[in-house]
Amino acid sequence: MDGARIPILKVGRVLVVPIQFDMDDQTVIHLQERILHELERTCARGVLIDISLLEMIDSFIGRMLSDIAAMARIMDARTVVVGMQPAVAITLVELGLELKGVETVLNVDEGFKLLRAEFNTPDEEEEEFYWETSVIGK
Amino acid sequence: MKDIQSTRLGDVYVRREGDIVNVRERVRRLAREMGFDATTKIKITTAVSEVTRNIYEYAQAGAITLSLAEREPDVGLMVTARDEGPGIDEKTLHAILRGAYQSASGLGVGLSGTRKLMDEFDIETGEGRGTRVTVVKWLPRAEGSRVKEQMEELRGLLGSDQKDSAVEELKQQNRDLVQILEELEEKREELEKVNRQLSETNHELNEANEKLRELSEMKEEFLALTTHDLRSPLTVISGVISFFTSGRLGELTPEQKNMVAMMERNTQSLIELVNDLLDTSKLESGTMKLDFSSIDLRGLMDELRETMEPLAKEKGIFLEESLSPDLPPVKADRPKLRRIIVNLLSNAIKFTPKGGKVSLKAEREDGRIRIYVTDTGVGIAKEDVERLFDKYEQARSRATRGEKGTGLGLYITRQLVELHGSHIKVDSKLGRGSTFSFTMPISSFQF
Repeated sequence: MDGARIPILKVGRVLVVPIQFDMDDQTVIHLQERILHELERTCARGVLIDISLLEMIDSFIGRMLSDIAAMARIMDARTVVVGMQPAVAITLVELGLELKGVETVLNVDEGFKLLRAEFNTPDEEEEEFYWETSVIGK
Repeated sequence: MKDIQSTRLGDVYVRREGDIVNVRERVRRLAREMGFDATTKIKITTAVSEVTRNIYEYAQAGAITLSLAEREPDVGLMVTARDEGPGIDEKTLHAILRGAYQSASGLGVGLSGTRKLMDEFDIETGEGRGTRVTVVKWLPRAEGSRVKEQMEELRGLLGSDQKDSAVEELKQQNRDLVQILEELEEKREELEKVNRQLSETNHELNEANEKLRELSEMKEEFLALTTHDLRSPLTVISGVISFFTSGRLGELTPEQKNMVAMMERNTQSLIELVNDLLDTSKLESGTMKLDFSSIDLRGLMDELRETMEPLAKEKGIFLEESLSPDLPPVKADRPKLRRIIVNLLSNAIKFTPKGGKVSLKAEREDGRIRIYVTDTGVGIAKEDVERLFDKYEQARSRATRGEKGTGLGLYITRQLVELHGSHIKVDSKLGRGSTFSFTMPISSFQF
C-alpha cells in the first residue's frame, strides 16, 4: 500500500487530504511526511483532512493525526479533520483517545469556513480559491 | 473466559506491518456478516487493530484467531491475539490496564481501550512468557441463532486465510525443523565430545589394565620361581634330617632326638607351605594338568589313614570312615584327589576340639559318588562360608588365628574339585560342626 495513493489537493491556500481507504502504518507515516513537504512547498496555511470514508481510527492513527496537527502548527498551518463518522467518534471516546490539538468539524464545507476565517481571506481571492485546484502528488 | 465455548473460524498471521490492515479488513467483514451493527463493527475493528499492533510492535510475529463464542444464551465473536514476545511484567500490566502507561508509539490506550470497547477481556502474560489477549463481543440476542447456522459461510469468508495459514503453518514447521536440526547437530557434537573423552579414558584404562596384568604375571612368575627354588634346599634338608632319625649317624641322645623331631616337623610344614604356593601358582597360571585314572576309594582311604591317624590321635579325635562295600571306583587324578581329601580331613581335625569326631563317608548320588567329610568342630557362620575358599582367608580370619597354615588349603581344594567338574558344598552350624562334600564321576571301567 503506497502512501502516494492518498492524494493531496491544493485548494487555494488549503491542502485537502481525502483519506479513502484503510491505511497501514507506513502509509500514515508517509502521508505525514508528504503533508509537511507540501506545506513547505506550497506555503499553504491550512490542512483539511477528510476522514469521512475512514471506518476506523485506532490509537496509532489517532496519534498520527495529532502529530500532523502539531507539526503543521509549527509550520504555521491549521489542521482540521472533517467528516468523522459517528461510530468512529463513539469508538474514539470509548477507547479513551483524545485527538489532542486536532480540530474536528462535521463536513468539508464547515472545514473550509473555519480555515477561511483563520487566514482572513479577502473576497477577491475566493475565485482562485475555488478554481485553482490541482492534484499534488509524487 | 472459562465459561465461554469457542469454535475456531480461522487464523490470520501477523508478521508484517501490512498484516494489521489485513486483520482489520477480515475482522470488519466477519463482523458485518455476523450481523454486528456499524458502530459495534467499528469498535471491534478498532480493538482488534490495537491488539494486532501490539503483536507486531512487541513480538514482531504472532497470530490472530477468530472464533465464534458461545455462552448460553449469547453468541458472539471471539478474537484471540497471541505472540511469543517478551510479555508484560505485572507492574507494567497494571499500569496499562489502569490507563496510566505511556507507550512509545501509541497513546497508551491500546489495551485499556480494547478492554472498554469489548464485552469480555482477558490477558495472560508475564515476563518472557509471551502474551495472549482474548476479547469477545456479544451479538444482539436476535442475531445469535442465525449466526450459528452460518458457520461454514463465515469460515469461507476467512478462506483465503486458511491458505495463508497453511503456508504459514508450513513455514513455521520448517522453522521448527531447522531449529530441531540445529539442536540435533549440537547434541551430536556434544556426543562426539563425550565419546572422545570416553575413548581417551578407555585408552588410559587399557594402559592401566595392561600394567596390572604385567604386574600380576610378574607376581606369578616370581612365586613360581621362588617356590621352586625353595623346594630344592628343603628337599636336601629333609633328606639330611632323615639321616639323623634313621640312626645311621649313630644313636642320638633324647635331647638331640627332640631337637631333630622339631626340625623335622618344621621342615615338613615348610615343605607343605611351599607345595601349597606352588599349586596355587600352577592353578592360577592354568598350567595344572589332570591325569585321570580309576581309583578305588577304599584303597585310597587305607593309604590316607596311615597319615591322618597319628594326627587325629595326637589331638584326641576319633577318625571314622563309612564306605559301602559295593562302592564303584571313581575317575579322578589320584594325587589331586588325595590332596583334596587330605586337606579336608586335616582341616576338620584342626578345627575339632579334643574328644570330637571326624568322619569320611562316600555314597552314590545321581550317577556320581559324593564324598563327605564331617566334623563335630566349631562350625562356620553362614556369612563366612563364601569367604572360606578365598585365598589366604585363614590368615585374615580371627576365628582361625592361632592355627597354623597359609590359608591356601581350602582355596586349592576348591580349585582342584572344580578342575574335576564338581563343586564343594558346605553344611555347617556354629558350634555343631561342619560337613564338606563334593562329587566325583564313577569310573567307567571296573576292576
